[in-house]
Amino acid sequence: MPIVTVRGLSRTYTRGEHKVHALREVDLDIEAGEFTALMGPSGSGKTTLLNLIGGLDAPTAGSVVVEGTDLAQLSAGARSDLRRERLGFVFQAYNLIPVLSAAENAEFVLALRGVPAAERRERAHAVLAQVGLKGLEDRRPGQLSGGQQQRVAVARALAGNPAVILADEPTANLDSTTGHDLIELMRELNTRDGATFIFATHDPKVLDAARRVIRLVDGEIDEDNRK
Amino acid sequence: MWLFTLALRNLFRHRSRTLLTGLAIAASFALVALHMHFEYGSWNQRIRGSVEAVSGHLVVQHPDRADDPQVEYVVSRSAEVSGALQRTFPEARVLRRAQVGGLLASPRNTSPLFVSGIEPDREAQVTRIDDLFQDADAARAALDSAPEPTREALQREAERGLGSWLEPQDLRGIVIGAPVARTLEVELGDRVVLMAQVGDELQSIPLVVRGIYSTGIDRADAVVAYTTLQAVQPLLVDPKTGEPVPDPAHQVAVHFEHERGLDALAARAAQAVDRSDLSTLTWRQAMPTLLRQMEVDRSFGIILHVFIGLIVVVVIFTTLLMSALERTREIGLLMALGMRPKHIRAMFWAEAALLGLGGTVAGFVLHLPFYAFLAYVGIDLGDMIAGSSDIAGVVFDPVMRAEFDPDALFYYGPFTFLLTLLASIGPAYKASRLTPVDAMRHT
Amino acid sequence: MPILLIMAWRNLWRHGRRSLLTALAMALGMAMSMSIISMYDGMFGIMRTLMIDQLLGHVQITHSAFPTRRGLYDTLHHADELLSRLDALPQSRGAVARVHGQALLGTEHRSAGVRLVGVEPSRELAVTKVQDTVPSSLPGGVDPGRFLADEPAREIVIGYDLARDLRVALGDELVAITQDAYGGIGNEVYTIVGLTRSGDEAMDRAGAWLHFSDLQALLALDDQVHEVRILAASDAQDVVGGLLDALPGALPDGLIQDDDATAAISPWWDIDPMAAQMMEMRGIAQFMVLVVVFGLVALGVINTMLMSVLERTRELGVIKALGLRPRGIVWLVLYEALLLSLLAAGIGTLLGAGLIAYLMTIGIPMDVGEGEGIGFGGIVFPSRLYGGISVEAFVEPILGVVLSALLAALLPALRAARLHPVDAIRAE
Ligand SMILES: Nc1ncnc2c1ncn2[C@@H]1O[C@H](COP(=O)(O)OP(=O)(O)OP(=O)(O)O)[C@@H](O)[C@H]1O
Ligand SMILES: [Mg+2]
Repeated sequence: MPIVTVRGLSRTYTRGEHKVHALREVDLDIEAGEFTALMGPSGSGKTTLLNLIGGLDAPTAGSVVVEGTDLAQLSAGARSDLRRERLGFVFQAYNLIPVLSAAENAEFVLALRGVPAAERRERAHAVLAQVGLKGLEDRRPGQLSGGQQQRVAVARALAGNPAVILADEPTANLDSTTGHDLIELMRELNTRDGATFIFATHDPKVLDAARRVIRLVDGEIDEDNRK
Repeated sequence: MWLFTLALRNLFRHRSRTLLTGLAIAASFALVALHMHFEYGSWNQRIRGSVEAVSGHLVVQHPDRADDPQVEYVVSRSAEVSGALQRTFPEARVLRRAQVGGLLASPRNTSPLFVSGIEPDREAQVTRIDDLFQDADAARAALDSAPEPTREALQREAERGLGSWLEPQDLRGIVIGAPVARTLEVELGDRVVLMAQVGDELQSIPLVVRGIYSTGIDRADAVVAYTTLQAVQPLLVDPKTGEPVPDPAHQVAVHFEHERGLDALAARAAQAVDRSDLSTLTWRQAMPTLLRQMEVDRSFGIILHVFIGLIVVVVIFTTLLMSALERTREIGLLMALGMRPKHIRAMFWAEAALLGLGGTVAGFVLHLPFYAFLAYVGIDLGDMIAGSSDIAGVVFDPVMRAEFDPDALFYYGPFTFLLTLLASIGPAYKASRLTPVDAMRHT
Repeated sequence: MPILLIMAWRNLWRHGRRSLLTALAMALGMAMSMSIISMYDGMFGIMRTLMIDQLLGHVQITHSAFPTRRGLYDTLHHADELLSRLDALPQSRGAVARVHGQALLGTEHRSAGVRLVGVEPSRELAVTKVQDTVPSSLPGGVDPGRFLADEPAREIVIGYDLARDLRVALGDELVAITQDAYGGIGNEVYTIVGLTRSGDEAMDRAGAWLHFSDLQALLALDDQVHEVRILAASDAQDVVGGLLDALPGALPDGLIQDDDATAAISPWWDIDPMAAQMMEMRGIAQFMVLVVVFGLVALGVINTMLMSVLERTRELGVIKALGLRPRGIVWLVLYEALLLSLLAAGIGTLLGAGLIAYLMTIGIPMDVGEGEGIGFGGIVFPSRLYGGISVEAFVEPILGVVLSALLAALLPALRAARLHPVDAIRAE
């Protein structure tokens, strides 16, 4: 069974008089362990799709089912719970909590879940080591470079062992080498731990690394290639 | 003008913050203004009551009597004085009074009190003591046909006065307070004796109870009774010599419709009286303690107002400082475009001025309905204002009503405005000290 | 420690100056309300001592007609026995018997109608401390003298103002003339030994204290008294209530010898509802002050918290996306306000304690002339008012600052909780 099932998903924004069809009746299945890239021109609906899968936004029509749970059936609070327990997020930039250290950011989701302090500290250190940030655990986001910050964001997304990690242009603000390293890192985590990744990206490096590339145009799936 | 346009736009852009800061200014102004109106009203009420019952706007009396109310400090040939004053001020109400302390005795008991010897018809024109009887009569008349919900109020009203106010020529009548009537166990028409000392002799003046009043303040009613001036005149004798004085009174009071130009009127009065053994005082001179009390009370209020002002200053200061820090980028842009630091400061001050003006005006508008409530409905303080003996005999309305204190508008209004400007000095300097490069780099 | 609390604490210091300024405004409000409560403690302390210890007692036992009529014949018999029984009650600190009369009191030239109060000095000393109404000094260096001697010696203590009106001084003799219990004229000569200035206008202007045996003799009352007053062990409502419950059983037989009368047991709030009202007014006035001050403070807090929330829109969106429920966001903001208010409470307590210390030692001058302070409801306050200290003066402002901050933060907190994560993250 796919880990994410999307059926007839539409999202229409009303901007004054006219309507923007950000997504039009999209059908999509994501299998566990897939490393999927969403590509397409600016405004094609990538972010919109990720937000809907992550339960951050509600669709105009259609359904999103994550691990057998239809998001439409959940209250706002329950959707929060689902995100906390089953999903990981990496955003484009500035997505760390500035007042928390790298380790605290990494363990944030665990803290919300109520995991005991010692256990989550251990886990945070482990994932930070995994993303190559050993020794920088106590730095605040302001004291880290953009690439390091994105690694912390990945570590945070990984820390809770989520079913799916959603990443919206994680490399957009990074120079090409740093971006490349980050992609390598995620790819490695995907192969070694079997974590499921869905990216939205313009970055050719990501597309190269991806095993499945979905191309969106005007809110519709134009191509869907598995390598 | 562009300064204010810019300032106005800035204020508008951060609507919720502007609203909140304006509200803080408005609320503090409204609270302080209401407090001032209320204090002003209650003091005016107290002063009016005292002017009516104790002094008059002008009072002609023995020079020492203001400090030391001795029985021998009299105005002799008082009717002449009264007549001269009435001729000088045909519109005014002129009345004579005397007050003696003594013991009122019935066959059952005695009660120490002060008896005011007054001219009943003239007194009735000035004080409200006689109204108690008329109101009570009216209440009694209405009581039978009154619907249930108003009965209790009417009943209370009816108990304010039993019998009647004194007749001008009544040499033997006395009007006493309800607590005195209870102690002496007397009713209307009963006989009582006023015992007082005249020289080395004990004098007893037989009197008949004509009226029993109750202002609702037992402590005050227990110590003041009223009789005619003629009835107490035999007691106004020099205690040392025992010599009687012709037609004595303790004071001749003059009441005007209003008290404008009182000092000039006092001078005219003194001229008309033309007696070197008497002094003519305005009520301010005649009741110095009352004025001093008012001043002390007001200065205590001012401390409170300054404290409230201080809190508001800090609130405004924080807001403006934050707005300065937050707009660093924009300020940098303006400076890069050639605006000079003093223009930036001026812009901040213009904002503060608009905020201060708007807040104060809003506070003024906001406080009006509350003021109207306090002024027309008032707060029933009941027995709370039962007075000290210097105001005993003053018929108080126990409902305190606010009166518009012009100081609230003409002093505290500008004060609030200035506080806002004051609070903006620091943030304005802070904003103007940024260099354009700094400011632009800042995010 | 919960992570939200840690975040709140650090958020507070992101704009340290702003937080400190806001805390300062809050602390100022606190210090202000603390000083006002301290002044109330001082003023109402004076009022309480005067009203309860000196004027009314906690409970008075009288002939049932005495409270309204104050009749000469409305007396209690066997007061001695009653007093010894009252002394034994655990809720009572002590009891005294008093005789009341009225007289024309004067010299050969001047006189005034005066209330006479007959007391037993040795008992009063232990219970009401009425001796304290004779001050240690008077304006203009006038010697106040002393209170009455323990044994009856035809001594009299009169009000300072009365002495001025009568032109008499210590050592002078005064004649009292009154109607006695047989309807005759009683008169007697007394020597002035002391002048009172208690703050009770009625007694200071027109009152005099005598030994109760002397007054009984003047009024021809034998050994009857008009009133027995009891001071309770404390002002606490349950102690006074317990005393009221215990009293009916403590009355000896033959206390009232009129067939148609009974003994009246009246608590002070029934005897003088105005005094009770005045004491009650304190609570209302104090509450009003707290509401006004912390209402203004709250506006400042709303401002700061709203700004703190608005500038963090994006961050809050991320936190929400990570799975913090809206309720968690509310707590995050409330924690910040709570910490801010605790900071303010710390500063405010120090500031307020300093002000209270000032008010207690230096006080506020309120001289309206001749060493007299302002008058209110028949009480004349001293010319310098001192603050008092109480647990309330600290607890109420601290509660005020914390509650107003939490209440004020609720609006920004709800606003933050309602943020849509997608919009928030998109926000610049
Ligand atoms: N909150 C919104 N209100 C109105 N229109 C919106 C909103 N969010 C997105 N859109 C519109 O929906 C369409 C899809 O937007 P989306 O952000 O999903 O594109 P994208 O593929 O992520 O683009 P990019 O590559 O630039 O990030 C766009 O036309 C966009 O303008
Ligand atoms: Mg996008």
